[in-house]
Amino acid sequence: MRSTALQAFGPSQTQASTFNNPDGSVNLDMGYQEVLRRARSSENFNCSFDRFVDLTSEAGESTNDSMRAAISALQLEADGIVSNVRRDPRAEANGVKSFDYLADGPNGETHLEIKGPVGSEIKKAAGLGPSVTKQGKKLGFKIKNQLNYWFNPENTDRPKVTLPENRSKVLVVNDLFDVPVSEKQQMESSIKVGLKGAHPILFINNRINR
Amino acid sequence: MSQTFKSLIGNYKGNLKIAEQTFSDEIISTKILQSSTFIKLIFFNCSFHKVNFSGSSFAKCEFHGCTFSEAILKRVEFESCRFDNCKITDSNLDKVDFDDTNFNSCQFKRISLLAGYFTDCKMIESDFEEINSYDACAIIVDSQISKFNRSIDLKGDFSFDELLKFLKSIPAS
Repeated sequence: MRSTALQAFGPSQTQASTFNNPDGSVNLDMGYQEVLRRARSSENFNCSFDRFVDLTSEAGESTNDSMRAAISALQLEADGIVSNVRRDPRAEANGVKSFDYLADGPNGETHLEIKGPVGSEIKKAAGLGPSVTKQGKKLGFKIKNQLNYWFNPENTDRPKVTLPENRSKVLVVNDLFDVPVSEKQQMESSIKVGLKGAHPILFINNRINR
Repeated sequence: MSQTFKSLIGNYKGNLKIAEQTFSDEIISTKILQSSTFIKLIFFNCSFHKVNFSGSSFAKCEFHGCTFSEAILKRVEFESCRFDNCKITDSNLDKVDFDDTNFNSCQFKRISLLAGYFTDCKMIESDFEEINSYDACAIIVDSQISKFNRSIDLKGDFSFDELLKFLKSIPAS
């Protein structure tokens, strides 16, 4: 029987880091319950456990990070923002990681990239610098760089993945679920500063969490 | 009595937190330690073979004479760490993030650095060979590289290939 108990999580850990088995491995059942919880108000949302497992697997392996991305992507689906979220079979077959998922976006996007910044207390608990501004700017810069990489015609990895037709076909989403309310606005603006307007981005859970 | 790293990680497969310990002369092989937190650890002559550290973080850690081989360091954050005389070979460092980290006499060989990110790092007498970073959007920001008494300060953000070009331009003495 699948676990339905969701653990409370504090400001010093990501939600997904509480979805673990006693041996520290990822507890996919708990992650799946969170998907259903976030989709509780959505009438037409449907995602089987097997599909969730597939979306959390990168090269056959699920980690807390890959599970976080899958939960965010499925929230977007439950909210009716995207549909048909799936892995890129060509990238999987070639062992290359490009954008997180293929998906049908609201403005004709075909690819979905999920980012999940974290609050300062989570950084502090890991002994890392807690600056929200620094983390946000760096993340924005990385998004810009990642897009440049995949649209660089000299990139030899391009034939190994299903490429978006152009930059406007990539929907970049920042899920601020693991950023506390007091830091969400600062994180959002810092990401935009780092991105320097290079690409439109969408934020979810950026006012209050689902 | 001090514990070994091996005994602390036991049969865990991730989400560990280990802080303020010193370990020496250990061989860690074929382990999954994803999404773990390591703070103020010092490793002497330790070998990490086929260890998967995906999504983990190392803060204020030191590695002296250590080797990482066929290791997975994807999305690992290293902040204020130090690597002395270390070898990282045949490993996956995609999306790795090194911040305020020093590398002294280290060797990187056959590593994948897709979207790797180096900020405020110092690389002294270190070598990078057969690195898959060309056009791989690895970035180096505000860092210093020194080799054979020549050094370069990279102020701002640069492609990691700039670093490789600089190292290539230095004739072996």
